[in-house]
Formats: sequence, structure tokens, C-alpha cells
Amino acid sequence: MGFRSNSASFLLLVIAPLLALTLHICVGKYPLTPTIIPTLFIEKLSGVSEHALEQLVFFIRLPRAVMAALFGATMGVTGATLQCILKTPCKPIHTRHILWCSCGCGSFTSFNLGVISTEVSAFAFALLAIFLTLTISRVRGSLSPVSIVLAGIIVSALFQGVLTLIQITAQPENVSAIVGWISGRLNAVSWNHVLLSMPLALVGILGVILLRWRVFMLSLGDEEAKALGMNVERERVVVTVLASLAVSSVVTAAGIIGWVCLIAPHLTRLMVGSDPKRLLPASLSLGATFLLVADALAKSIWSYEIPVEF
Amino acid sequence: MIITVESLTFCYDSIPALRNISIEISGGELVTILGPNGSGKTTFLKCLCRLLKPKAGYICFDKQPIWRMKPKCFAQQVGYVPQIHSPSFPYRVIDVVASGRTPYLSALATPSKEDYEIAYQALEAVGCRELAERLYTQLSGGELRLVLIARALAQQPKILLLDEPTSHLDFKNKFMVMHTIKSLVKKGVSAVVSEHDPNVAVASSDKVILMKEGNVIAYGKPDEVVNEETMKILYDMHVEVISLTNPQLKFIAPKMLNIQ
Repeated sequence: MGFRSNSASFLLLVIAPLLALTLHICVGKYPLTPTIIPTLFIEKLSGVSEHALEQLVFFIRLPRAVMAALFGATMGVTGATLQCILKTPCKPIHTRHILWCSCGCGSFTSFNLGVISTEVSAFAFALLAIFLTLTISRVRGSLSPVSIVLAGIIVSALFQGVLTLIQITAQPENVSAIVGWISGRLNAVSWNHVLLSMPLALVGILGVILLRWRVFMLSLGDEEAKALGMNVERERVVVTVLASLAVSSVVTAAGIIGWVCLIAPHLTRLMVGSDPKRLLPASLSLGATFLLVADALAKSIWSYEIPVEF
Repeated sequence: MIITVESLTFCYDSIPALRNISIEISGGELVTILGPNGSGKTTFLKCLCRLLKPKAGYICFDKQPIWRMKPKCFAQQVGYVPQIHSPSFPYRVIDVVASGRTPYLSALATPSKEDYEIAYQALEAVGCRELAERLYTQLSGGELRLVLIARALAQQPKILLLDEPTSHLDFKNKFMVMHTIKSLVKKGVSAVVSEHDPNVAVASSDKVILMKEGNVIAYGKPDEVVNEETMKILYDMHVEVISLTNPQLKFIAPKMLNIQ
């Protein structure tokens, strides 16, 4: 079942994101040929001359492509991780919803108040959402997958209510900005956003990949994991926090693009199976590839850009 | 490994499930816990493998209190096969068996080649080597049970605790699983098994524990403890113990009631 040859899979998982990155940089309102990209990089590194396309590639398209790759990789890995530890393919939808609403609340609060930066506010609210979810899920004493999912629904509903209130009370001139953020704002990403979100996203991604065998054990069942010497609750909290921090950091920078966390893990399973050692690293690659291709289509398929969330 | 249980008491909320159980189980034997539904068999096994913490009393393995042992050290000595296992994702059988090596791994490690070799040997020991590359969601009930036993074996334990390993299995698979457990006991692993069917218990066990309503009412060799009187006390029904052509084999048959 699926495409299981080890070397062929590995090759595809390395090459596919690179090809998708190249495609993403080349397509757009001003199409580029792939051969121009190495030329631009060489000229940039050697400082030879200012090419006419340098601004377009290095300051508009490249940060967007890198952010799309980082976003897709993060959502792919965290989606697969949360599916495993919560033993449901649907949990990533709730994760997206919680972080969407919380980040939305944070960013729009700061947008309206103008007190602190949008990104800081959004991230703070995302951390609040994670904290509330884990706290509520402990109400009955244990941190089981069911309690986390239910707590996530509660927190999601809470922030959805606040977000609706913000949208209702927003100034008319701010409404389009709000909708744009909800739809994913890769087109507004700069190098500042990439540098802001990359450290925490990489820490979260690396953390869950290093813990992939523990993630697999949690997916087998709590009793069995405990019987095999694991501290199930502690390890579930660690993995959940790592995944949530990674998602928070990219959502803060680029808005909401949620379907990647559901589709990428399933596609990855079709390709490499559920092999616990390969699933998470493969989800990283396929998530990045998927979003790069989708965003490339979103910015080129029509005369104006379609938000990639749609 | 000698298991010593002293004054073990456990309650679910305020409802007692185990009442002041004291028993000593010798090593190198297949011991079956026999009892009706709700007698406390599963609770007793879960207390033995530290999944439940008793309200009172203590359990020692080779005179060492089990709750003072580190979880990893305990898991390296005790293998547990659950009653119910719901496959969540289509993992390969060999990966599921290799999960039994987790007590020997650090937090960031994955099983090595040597660990996978031990997993293959565990599958070999239960006669399921050919299942290694299959997806465990596609296995039959008997095959899945044997795979879970292989996983417990991959822990290289001194003792196996199996919760109703023959439940939901057909006539042949019941005895096949018990035969496999018996052969493992002959290789030096102790086993404590909970069971519903007295015939399965009598046919394969070295010792039998009879439990009812959280109490141990008898413990000893099958010949000594499984008889018409004890079955009447245990299941509140009349049975007839029939000796078969092989004098070591007995069959416990219910006496059919007059149905009107």
C-alpha cells in the first residue's frame, strides 16, 4: 500500500520541497524562469551588481516562500503529532480553531488598541489559550486525550465569542484587515515575520521529531504506555506544549491556514505508512511542499490573489 | 520471581473491588486467576502491574515493594498484556512489538537494530514471525493477542501478566494462546493469567487462584481447588467434573437446569 521504497521516498521528500520552493518563487504576477534564481543568488552572494529582479525575489517572494514552507512544515508535523497523541484524526481541526481564535483575539485587540505589537499580542493570547486548554482538561484529575479535546472545544468556543465581538465592534475600515488575517496573510509576510517565528517554530518541530517514538507510544494507549514505563501525562503535556508553541509562532506571523494540519499527515500516511520513525519527518516535508504548491496556485491561478486558506 | 501480596485492598470510589488479599505466588509457574465477572481479577492484575494504586496493603516482587521501583526498572521486569486493545493507526506488527523495548530507551531514542532483532525473536517465540510486516489493524483476534504477548516478551520480563488473553477467541485459538503461554513458562518466564473458562484454566495451569467479590477463596493446584464445591461457590451453579481418558485431563461441565 502506498509508496514505500525507502530510498525513493527519501529522495522525493528531499526534492519535493525544493521543487515546490522554486515553483513558488517563479510564479506570480511577473513570472520568472527557474534558471534566473541561481543567477540572482550568485550575484547576491558575490555582491557583483544589483539585478533588476533582486527586490522582487529577495524581499517579496523569498520571505513569502520561506514562511509558506515553515508554516506548512510546522502544521504538517504538529498535525501528525496531535493525531497520534490524541488518537483522533480530527484533533488538528480543534487545534487550528483554538489558535485561530486566540491569535485573532490578540491581534485584533492590539490592532484596535494600538498599544503593543500585533504579533506579541497574538502570541500572548495563543499561550493563554494553550494554558487554559491544559488547565481545564485537568479538572477531572487526569490529562486524557478526551479531556484535552473537550477542553479545546470549550476554549475554542470562548475565543470564538470574543473574536465575534471584536469583529462586530471593529471600525469599518479595519474589517477587511481582520478578514484578510483570518484567511491567511502570507502575501503580507516580510523577513521580520520569518525571523520572528522561525526560532520557536524550529524548536517545536525539532522537539516533536526527537520525541517521535514517545509520540508513537502515546498513540498505542495510556495503559500500555504506562505499563512500558512512561510517565504518560507528563510526556503528553510536553509534546502538546511543543506542538502548540510551534503552531502559535507561525500563526502569529502568517494568520490562519488550517487545513494543512489535517491533509498533510493523511497524505504522508499514504506515502510512508504509519511508521513511527518516518511519519513525523515525512509530514514536515510534505506539509511544506503542499502549502508551497497551494500558495503558488493561490497567487497565480486568477487575475487577483485568492487567500490560500480558501 | 516470587510475588508477595499482603493485605491488598482497592476501591473504585467507595466500592471495594479487592478486599484484604494476601497471597504468595511462586516463580516459574503459570498461575490462572479464575472468577466470575466483577470478582476483581482485572483489578488484581492492574494492581500487580502498577496501573492501579491500592488503598491499603503492599505488593512485593522478590521482596522489593513494587511502588518503590522506578517505572522503567519495573517495566523491564514485568510484561503486561491488556484485555482490550483498540488499534488506533495501521502500524506494522514489528513496530508494535518493538514498542516493548521502550523501557530500555532514553527519552529521545528510537529502537536500535538490536532492539528490532529482539522484537523479531519475540515474534518467533510466539510463532508469528511471518506477521512482522503486516499491519496490525488487519490481524485476527488470535493473531493480535499473540502479537501483544510478543510485545510483552520483547520487554524481556521475568513475569508476564495477561488479562483474559483468551477472551473473544475461538475454540482453537483459546488453547493455542494458552499453549504458547505455557511454553514460555517452561522457558523460565512466570505468568499470571486471568481467565473465565475453568476448562482452559485446568488444562494449562500449574496453580489456580479462585476469586469472588474481591476475595481469594482458594489457591492451589487445579486438581485441588477446581471441583464441584468450589465451582458452586464461585459461579453459583452446579457443575460436574468429568475425568477424561487421560487422568490428568478433566472437563468441567455445567449441569443443565430444567427449562420450563
